[in-house]
Amino acid sequence: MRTKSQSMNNEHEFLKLFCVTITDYASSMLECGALSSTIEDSVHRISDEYGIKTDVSILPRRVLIAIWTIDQEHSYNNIGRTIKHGINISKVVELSQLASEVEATHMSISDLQEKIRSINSETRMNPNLVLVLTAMANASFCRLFGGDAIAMGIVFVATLCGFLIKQKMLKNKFDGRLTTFASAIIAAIISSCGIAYGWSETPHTALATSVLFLVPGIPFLNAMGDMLRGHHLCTVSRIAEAIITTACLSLGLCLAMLLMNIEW
Amino acid sequence: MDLIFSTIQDGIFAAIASIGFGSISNAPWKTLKHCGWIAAVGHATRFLLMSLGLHIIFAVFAGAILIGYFSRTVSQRTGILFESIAFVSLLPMIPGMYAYRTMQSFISFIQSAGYAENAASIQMMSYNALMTLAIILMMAIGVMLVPKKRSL
Repeated sequence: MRTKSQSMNNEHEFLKLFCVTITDYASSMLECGALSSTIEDSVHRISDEYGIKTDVSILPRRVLIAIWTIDQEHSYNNIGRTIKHGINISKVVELSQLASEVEATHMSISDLQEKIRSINSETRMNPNLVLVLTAMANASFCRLFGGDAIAMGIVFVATLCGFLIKQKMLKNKFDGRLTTFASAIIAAIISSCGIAYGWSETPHTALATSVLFLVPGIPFLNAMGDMLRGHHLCTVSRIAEAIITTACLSLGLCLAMLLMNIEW
Repeated sequence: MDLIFSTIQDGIFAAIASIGFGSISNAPWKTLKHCGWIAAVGHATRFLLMSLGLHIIFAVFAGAILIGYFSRTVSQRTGILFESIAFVSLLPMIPGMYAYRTMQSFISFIQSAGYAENAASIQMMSYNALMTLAIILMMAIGVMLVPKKRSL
């Protein structure tokens, strides 16, 4: 692999390009919610393939990259910043598969850069489909907690409305915490109809499960995953974010219960 | 017989929940189709063990180990990242209720007057917070305990 870098006329140009590309790669992975150990592992696999020594430190919202040639003659440093887009598992999967692809095909750096760019520009799943799937998921959650068919229906409608509000607010660049708070209030108020009108046998289950689609499951699990692999700084930042989101959704639920005059 | 039927039912609803919650995080279809059945197996195991009288923490741990095992198998066959299969399959087991009850009891602690009421709220709060933490930790440990297999 060493020959690849030597064959370029200017080793510095090569190193600079590699540094920019790998920073791009690592910060894309961090912003879409990959585990820190996954980021480190993928970055090391790619740089081994190009015959470069890379050291990566992952901070809550920054990635520090230092690269060296094997003979420690030349080096470059870079800091990657992340933009918050929310968790995107599709991107994590494709970026980690890109590392295996690099190992298998020995692609050139400009090809790698092009691939990272094309993965970053992919669109998310159809929002209407996500809306329906989430509503179905939350309705089946209600069933798992022992709700009856009418309670499931109530939760389905409540989630549909709550998640629609969330999608619209995020699209209009509202703050994430405010969005969680607002959609929790909407979902909880709609699902408290069951209690107000006596529609179901288990109206309290409907109310309690209506806001569960807002619980940040992946950030909680990522935090624990990072903790088990020794990335304690990332653990703290991820768990703080998850706790703040949970606090916002419970505040929304409590306010809705207060408005509807329901005891908890 | 009744227990077997409700276990299967639990698995089916857990699969729907996993796919739906996975789609919020934009998990791709090639991952979601595996997450569905893995989540069903894990959650049904948890349900079965809890119906047999096991504590929720041990039941979650057993379910998580199974999820970890199947996710590892699928991950090595298809080349999809292990964590993205395992974590999406774990989503139906996230203790969401415990998590927001912590905040609810915090609010009732602020509202409450008198020693007995205060103590009850603070006890509820710490119970819910610790249960949330313990369950999520057990889920992560259970999944990560499963080692990489050398070859399949």
